[in-house]
Amino acid sequence: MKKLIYIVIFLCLIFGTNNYQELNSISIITNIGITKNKDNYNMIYQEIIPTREDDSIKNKYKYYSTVGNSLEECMKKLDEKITKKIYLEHLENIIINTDDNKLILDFNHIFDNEFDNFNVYITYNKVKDVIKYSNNYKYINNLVDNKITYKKIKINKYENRKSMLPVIGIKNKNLVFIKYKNLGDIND
Amino acid sequence: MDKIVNKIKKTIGYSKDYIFKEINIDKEKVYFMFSEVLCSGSDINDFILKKFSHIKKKDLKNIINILPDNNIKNIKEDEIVAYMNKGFIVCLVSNNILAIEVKRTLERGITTIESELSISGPKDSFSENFNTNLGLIRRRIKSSNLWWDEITIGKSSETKVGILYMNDIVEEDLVNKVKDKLSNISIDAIIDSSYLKDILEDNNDSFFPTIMSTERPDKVSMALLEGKIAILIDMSSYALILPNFFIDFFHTVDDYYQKSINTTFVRIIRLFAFFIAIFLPAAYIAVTTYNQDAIPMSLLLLLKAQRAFVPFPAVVEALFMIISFEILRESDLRMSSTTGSAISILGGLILGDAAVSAGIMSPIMIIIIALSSIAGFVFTSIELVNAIRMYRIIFLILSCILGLYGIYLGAVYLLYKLITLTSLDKPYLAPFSPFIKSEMRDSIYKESNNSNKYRNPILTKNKYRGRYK
Repeated sequence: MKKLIYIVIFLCLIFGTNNYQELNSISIITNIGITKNKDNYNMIYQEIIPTREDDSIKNKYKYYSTVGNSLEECMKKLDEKITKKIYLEHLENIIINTDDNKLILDFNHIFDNEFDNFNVYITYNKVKDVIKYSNNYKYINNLVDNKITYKKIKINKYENRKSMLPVIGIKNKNLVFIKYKNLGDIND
Repeated sequence: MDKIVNKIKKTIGYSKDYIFKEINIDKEKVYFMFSEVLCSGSDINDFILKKFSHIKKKDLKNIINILPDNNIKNIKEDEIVAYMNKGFIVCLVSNNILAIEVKRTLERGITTIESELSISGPKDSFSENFNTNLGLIRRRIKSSNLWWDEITIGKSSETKVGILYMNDIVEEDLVNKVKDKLSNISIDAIIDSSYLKDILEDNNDSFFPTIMSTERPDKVSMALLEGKIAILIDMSSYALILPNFFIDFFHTVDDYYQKSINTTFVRIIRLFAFFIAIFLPAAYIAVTTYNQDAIPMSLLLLLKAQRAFVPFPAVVEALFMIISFEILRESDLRMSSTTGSAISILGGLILGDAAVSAGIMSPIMIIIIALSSIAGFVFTSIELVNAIRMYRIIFLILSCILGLYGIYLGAVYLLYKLITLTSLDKPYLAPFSPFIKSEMRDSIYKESNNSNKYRNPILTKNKYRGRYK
């Protein structure tokens, strides 16, 4: 029994601490903006930085932007750009300025299947502007009643149902909900 | 006679507390030997020396009937020192060796309970006197079935140990096991009942206690009536109760003095406190260093903001806090109550606040460790408090190596330890494993004293309580 305990302790010490990351050393990304250009992609990360000011907690935002030939390349470049470990498990929204079905399906390749609970929005404005309007990580979500998550889009695809994606945009210097857009049959 | 006296003088060496006195009664020598620290001087003067000054030589042979003492014994030569050390005056008269009890009162009497406080119920507690302690139990259980066996343990201390049990309830095997274990002890001295704990425990490597020590006579009486065994030790104000089950440490005597619904509620709180005390710091470390996805975004942001300026890793911060708390607790225990409260204020409030202001500690970590430590003190058994403390650190280390997975592994190990643990060969996790339906009436859920008709079937075959027999 003692040998077994020693082996377990040894294995824990060898294989443990692999995913250890302090809260101070992670960069929490709340929103991602993707713009599909003719030849490349433009990707923006919005990092949320909570800080203690006096006796209250205030959130500050930092933006990182890059251009790449694919989503993977963009993410890789951003990974190099941000010194802290990128933390995407609490990603709230992805805002894209295209209704390209294939782009949405491409998320599968770049995001871990375990976290697919982020909302997907479409905008026809500049993604960078839209993201900067959302100075609260829940701001965009409060605009729309029937949000759709990436998980739901995947389920709809599996069940051959259509997905209605909310379209948001800037009107009179305010971020507003515009309409729901039927992406058509996601299998197309 | 002179030879005996000289021999005793040699045996005791230079100890000045032994007094040797010689008187002549009609030219016949009478020797007295006693320890002035153990014997009452006034009793010796009033009831022994005065009596001897009035009697004549012819009465010396019948002295045992003349002296007004109910504890006079004819002893052998090799027992003289032992009796002197028990508070007897030894009298060498007419080739007889008499030991007459003149014990001085050295105990502090019956005082109020200090460590196992209760809101209701009796307030008397055990003292260091064996007879007083036995009397406190006999006053509660007047049945002739309350038996006790005496064993003397300790080569130097020759401590009187009493094994108490209800003859009509207890399992004979249990009593024999305890007697066997106690008879095989080879030790210099038993200074306190705690000395016997290690010897009586089945599994010494376990952190969890299987023997309960208590200063409450009412608790001992309740245990005896359940079919358990109590051990009283002379010069110890704590009695031992055995066997015990894990759930027994969640019960207090107060539970039986108040409404059952309140007792059930308090027991649920204690169960929560047990889990908070062991798992809270580990869970915090796991979710802040490995499993951030397990907490909602708002909480994650709050925790991140709190830790923004803390220079140490979370686990170092937690260990630092735990060790600081233990130092504070230890110094508080050793100090008098007035100094102790000053240390509590200095350590708890000033140091804690200063550490947060200086950015060394995060406020949330102080809350986590304080909550966990306070939750650990819900229990009256210091052994359980210590076990919780050890498991808190084990789980903390596991969580910093493997995160929540480490906590699951640790929990499985903890469960394995609890299931395999025994107390006098009785399963420690009863009545949950093995499951005993009747005992569920007094486990976490508590039925009223009136409706709980059965004793624990693991402990006794005489399972019907009192009037239902």
